[in-house]
Amino acid sequence: MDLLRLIVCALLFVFSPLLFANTSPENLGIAFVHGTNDHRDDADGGYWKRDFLDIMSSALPDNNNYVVINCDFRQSMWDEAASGCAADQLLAFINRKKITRLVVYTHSNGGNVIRWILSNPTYDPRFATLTQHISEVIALAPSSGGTPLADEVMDGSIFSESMAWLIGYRNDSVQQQRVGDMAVYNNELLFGSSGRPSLPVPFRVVIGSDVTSSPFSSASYCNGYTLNVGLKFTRLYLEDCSDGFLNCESQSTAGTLWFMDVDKTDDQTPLSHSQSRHHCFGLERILRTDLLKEGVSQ
Amino acid sequence: MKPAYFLLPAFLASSLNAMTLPESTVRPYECETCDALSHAAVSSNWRIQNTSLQHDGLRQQKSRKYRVVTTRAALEKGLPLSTRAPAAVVSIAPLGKQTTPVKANFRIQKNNLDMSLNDAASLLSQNEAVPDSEFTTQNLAMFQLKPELGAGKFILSSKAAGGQANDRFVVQVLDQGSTTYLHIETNKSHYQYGDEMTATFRLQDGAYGYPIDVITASVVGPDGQAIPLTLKKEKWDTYVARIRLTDEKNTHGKNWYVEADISTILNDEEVLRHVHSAISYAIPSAAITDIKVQKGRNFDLIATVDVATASRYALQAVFMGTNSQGKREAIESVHSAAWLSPGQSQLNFSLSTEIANKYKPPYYLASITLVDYGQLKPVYEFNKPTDIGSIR
Repeated sequence: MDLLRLIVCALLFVFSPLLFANTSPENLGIAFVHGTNDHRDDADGGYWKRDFLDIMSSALPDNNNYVVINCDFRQSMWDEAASGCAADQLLAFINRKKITRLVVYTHSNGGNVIRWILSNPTYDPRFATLTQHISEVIALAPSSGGTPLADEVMDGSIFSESMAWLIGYRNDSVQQQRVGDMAVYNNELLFGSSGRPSLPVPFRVVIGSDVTSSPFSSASYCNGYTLNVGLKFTRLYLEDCSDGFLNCESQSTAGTLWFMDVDKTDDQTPLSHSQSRHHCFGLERILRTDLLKEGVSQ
Repeated sequence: MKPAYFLLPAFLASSLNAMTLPESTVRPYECETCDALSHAAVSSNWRIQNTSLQHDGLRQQKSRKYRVVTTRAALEKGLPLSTRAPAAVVSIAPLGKQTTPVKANFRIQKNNLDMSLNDAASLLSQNEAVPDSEFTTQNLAMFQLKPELGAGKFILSSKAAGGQANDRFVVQVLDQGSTTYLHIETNKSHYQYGDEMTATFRLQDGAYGYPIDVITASVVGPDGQAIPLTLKKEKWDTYVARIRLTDEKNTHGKNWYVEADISTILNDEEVLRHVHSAISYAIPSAAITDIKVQKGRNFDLIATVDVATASRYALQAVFMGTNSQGKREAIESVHSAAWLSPGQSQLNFSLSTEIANKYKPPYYLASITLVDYGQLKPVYEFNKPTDIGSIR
C-alpha cells in the first residue's frame, strides 16, 4: 500500500507541471511595434500616444500586459538593431509577464519587421520561440509593398531632409521600402503575399486610404495638423487611394484585409498615415472591441 | 507552429530511393557576417491553407517621371520642362552637400504667360506658402502645376540671390496624368553569378509604342556602382540590353537595380522619362543535391546540401496533400535551418503526421528553396512538385 502511495505521489510530482499547464488560463498580452526610423527614445508616448496606449491596454484582462517596442528601424528589417531588438524586447515581455498569447499591433514598416520574424522563424532561435507566442498581428497601414516615396528619397529627387519626419534619411530601411526592393523581398524572403505561403499566424490589415488636411476640417487635426499637411504633399506622388505615405495596394500586399478605414471609422473618415496609429475617428474603439473579443475568447 | 531543435547524426540517413535535384555549381564568397549568425539548428512547421504558389516577382516597371540635373546658373537662365498631361508635380532639390537653400524666387513661363509659383501652382511647398507643414524645408521646392495651365513646354527659372553658379540641383517632373510611360522588363527577378540578364525598354502609350531617339541604361549595384549597358535596337520601338552578372561581392540582402533614361521628340515636343527596377542577385553558395525519406518514417526527409561557403542555411519547402475531391493542395510550410560548413551537409525536415492524416496520398514536396542567411538570398530553388511516395 505504501509502495502504491509512493508511486502515485511520484507520478503526481512528475506530471503536476503538465497538469497545471493544461488547466491554467491563457494570459493575453499586446505589443505595439513602431514604424520606420529610430524610436528608441520616443516610441512610448511619442510614436504611440499615451492615451491611445491606455485605451488599448484597458481592454486587457490584466491592464499591465502590454509592451511598447522601442528599436532602431533605420536599419533593414533583418538587422539585429531592428528585428533582433524587437524580438528581444517581445521575448523579455513574454517571459516577465508570463504571456501565453500575444497580439501584436504594428504600424507601417513595423509590419515588415514582424513579417520578417514570422517568415523566417529558423533564422534565429529567438524568432522560433517568439513565433510560438504570437497569436495574431494587426497590421496598421503596413508598408508591405513599399512606397514610391522611398524611391524619391533614394534617388535624391526629394531632399531627404524633407522626408525625415515621415520615412527618415537615406538609410537601409528607406532603401528596403522602395517598391522594387519590397517586391524582391516579398518574392524571396517574406511570406504572406499573393502566390507565397501564408504566415504562421493571421496578419490582419487595416488600410488608410486618404489624407484630410483642410484647416477647416476637424479631421485634419487628429494626431497633428502639420503632419497631415505634409502627407497631403507626399500624396502627390501616390495613387488616389493612399494615406499620404503608402498606396492602398502596398498596404494590402500581404496578409488579409481586416478593413478599409472608411468602412468602419466614424463618419467614414479616412485615416492618414499619421492617424492610423492613434485614436482618430473611432479607430481605437474598433481595435479595442476586437481585442475585448480576444480577451473573452481566452 | 511547431519548432524543434535537433542535431542530425549523418548515419541516421538511409532510404531506398532519393529525389535527385537538378545539378547546380556552387561558388564560394567572402562572408564577413556569417560567423555572427546563429549556429543552432532550428526547424519549424506551420499549417497553410488556400495557398496558391504562383509567384514570379516584379519584373516590370512603368515610369511617367524624369529627372534633370541642373545648376543654379542654368536655372537663372531658364530650364525647359515638358509635360504630356496637366497637373504635373515638380520638385527641385539640391544635389550634394551645398548649404545654400533651394528656396528661391522661382517663376514659370508658358507660352506668353510669366507667373510666380504662387500663381502657377495649385499645391506649393515653400515656407512662405505653407508655413505649418512638416514637409516644408529650406532645401526643397515642390509644387503641382495648376491643371488649367495644361501640358506642353514650361520654362522654370529662378532669380535667387546668393549661392554659387555651379551649385547643382535635381529637378524632377512627375507627369502623373500622362498616358506615355517608359516600360522596363527584365527576363527574371532573381539572378545568380554567371547568369545573363536581359532588360527590355519600350516607350509606350498603352498598346502603342513610340520610337526612342536617345537611351542610356545601366546596372547599379547596392553601393551605387554603375555599369553602363550596351543597348541594341531590336524593334523600331524596343531596345534590349544584355549583361552577364559576375560580381563576387556579398550584397547581404541588398538588391541591384536597372535604370534607364530616354528622350524622344513626339509631335515637336520632347518626351523624357527615367525608369528604375530592382533585381535580386546572389552567389550560388550552396545547392541541394538530393532528398531522401528516412527509412520507415514516411514523412521524415533528409536533404543533402553541397556547401561552398560556411553560413547559416535554411531549407524552406511546401508539403502538398490530396484533398477529398482528389485535388492537390498546399498543406504545410516547412523550415529547417542550421549552420553548414563547406562540403556535404544534411538538413532534415518533416511533414506533421497530424496534418498529413487529414489528407490522402499522394503527398508532394514543392517550392523547395535553400536560403543563405549570410547573403539573405535564396541560392537554390526547385519548384516542381514531387510525389514523396516515389522517393521512399
